[in-house]
Amino acid sequence: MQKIENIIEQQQKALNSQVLPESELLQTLILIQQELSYIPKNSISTLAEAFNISRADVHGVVTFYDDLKLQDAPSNAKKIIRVCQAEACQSMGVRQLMQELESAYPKDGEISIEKVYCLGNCALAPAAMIDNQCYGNVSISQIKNLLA
Amino acid sequence: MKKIYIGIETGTLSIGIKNLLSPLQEIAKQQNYQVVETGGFGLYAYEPMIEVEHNNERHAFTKVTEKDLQTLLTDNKPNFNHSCYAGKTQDLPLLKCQQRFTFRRVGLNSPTCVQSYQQEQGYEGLKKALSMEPQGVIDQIKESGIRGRGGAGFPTGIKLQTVKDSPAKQKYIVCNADEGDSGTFADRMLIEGDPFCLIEGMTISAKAVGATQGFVYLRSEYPLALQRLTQAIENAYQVGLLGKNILDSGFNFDLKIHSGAGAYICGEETSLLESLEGKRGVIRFKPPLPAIEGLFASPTALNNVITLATLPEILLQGGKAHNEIGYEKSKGTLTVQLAGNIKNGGLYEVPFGTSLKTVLSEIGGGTRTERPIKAVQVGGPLGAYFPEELFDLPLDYETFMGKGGMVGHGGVVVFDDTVDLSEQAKFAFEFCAHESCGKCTPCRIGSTRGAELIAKIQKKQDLDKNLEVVDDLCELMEETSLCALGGMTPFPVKSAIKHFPSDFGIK
Repeated sequence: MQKIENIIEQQQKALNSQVLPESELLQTLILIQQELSYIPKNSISTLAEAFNISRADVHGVVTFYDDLKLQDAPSNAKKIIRVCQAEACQSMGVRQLMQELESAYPKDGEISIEKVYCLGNCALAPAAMIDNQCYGNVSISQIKNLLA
Repeated sequence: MKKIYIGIETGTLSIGIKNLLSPLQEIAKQQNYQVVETGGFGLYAYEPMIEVEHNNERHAFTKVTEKDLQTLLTDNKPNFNHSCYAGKTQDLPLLKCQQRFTFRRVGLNSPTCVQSYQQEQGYEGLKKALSMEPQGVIDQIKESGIRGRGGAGFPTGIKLQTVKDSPAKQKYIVCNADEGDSGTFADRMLIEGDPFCLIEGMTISAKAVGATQGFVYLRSEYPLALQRLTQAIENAYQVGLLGKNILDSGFNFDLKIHSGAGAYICGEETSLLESLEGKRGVIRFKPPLPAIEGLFASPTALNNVITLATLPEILLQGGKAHNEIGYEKSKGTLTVQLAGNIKNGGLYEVPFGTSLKTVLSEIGGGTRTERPIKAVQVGGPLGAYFPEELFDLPLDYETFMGKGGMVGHGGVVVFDDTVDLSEQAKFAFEFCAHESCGKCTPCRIGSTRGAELIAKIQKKQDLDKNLEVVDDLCELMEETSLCALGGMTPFPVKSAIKHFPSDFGIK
């Protein structure tokens, strides 16, 4: 919670206002997600108060965007791999790759597989992203090496 | 000092070009060369590619490995006998077949260096615009015939005119850089390779409509684009190309980046505006048009990256020069992004009217799996699947619309003969269900029902009846959805059924 209050405080200083404008809510949530890698469920009311909007409004925004993860506690995953599922990657066999990945890395383990739609690396499909670094022409063996 | 160029962008980085960078710097130092990191040309058949300057010309070395680096230079000049040597850059076949208008600077220089940008006639277009009356700027854009490159193809000049003619204290310029369509990466290439061009284009449109604040809505999947654009905006502020009194003209313009958070629907203009206001990206009913009531209920000129980045060149060369390129009502160039199962995947800027066949066989060079092409999807996930019989079609907004598809943002995804089009049709519905904002019923519920129907068809359950229901559902979604997501999801579905009936068990 301390980290969230710090982020809110920073925003208040940057915008020179105690009540934050609603237009900054999404950007604030993105900052929290980057800092904690999830949005704690118990932070909703703190945020609602800071922005002077309802808890439902905050909840609504958090649950709308795929990048924002509303959870009770951080997940066990040490690494997240985001694998593109869109058409260009399908044409280069991402469906098969996903099956291989899912059998190699069980659910709720240290490696979390996230499905995303398009990483913008479509000429080098299939594409995946680990720690903000995009990889192209990926194979199961290459991913295993990267995550080892 | 003579230069060595290496393209550093998400694509090249994704295939490990970073491994070449430090050994290259070492070799360059020994032989008195300076390494310049450019934004890359987007020609992945050549990557990793390195260019060496010699007698003021650039010489290309393609498919370079770390081992090849050692012999790239001999006696302070390029080693022309090297097995990777591919001739002068300007003569490379995959570059020569293009007409680079919007992308003419991408790949040439350091993307975030203002001086390099200005050396290539950067900011000349803005200087012209600042010396003109706003109406004069809009007239040039109208004369150019440019249409929105995000996919809708709406005439940009008319949009800007509407914003200019809407009286308001505050107006906004918004750039849609939420490039979510599969098979498209032109916006990313432009921002990573020539961010000043976008900044200049936004400043020109601000001058045209009388806006003083701009926003770039950039998707979160593009961290390098964010980094480069942030750097370019900072640099532009430092030298007085953003902020107060730009180029001593008395004109003010501020620019800010807003990040997206992984929602495809936020590429739809009204949903993007909601998201910019910090809310759920739920679409708005139109009218009012964003040009009249957009961001914070103010007149807003909302355009795609490529549209905005084409404006500097239009102002510089004059609207007429742009109007002379292209085909019928589709003026200028289309940045074709060849993706998926194709050998020469990459970015190709060609005049509108070029045929799909030219793009696929002359440029594309066949599939990566060496199998025949069965289908291509043009224009992203809402675009139609086309069979080989239709490859003669010229890339043109009206022609594609007439065939139940769209040119869209110019993405072309290639599939070989192993693809099952019924899977692709089901995916189109599933994707719509996943990304629907939920505001209108045909999109929110129709998409789920559609995916279920295709699954039944795949199992040959009441085939004729279910095909009829799919047809009915498609018609309903097209006619009653509030935005293009629900309204155009039927395009890939209907085209798949029409052109590839045997994949659906239709005799």
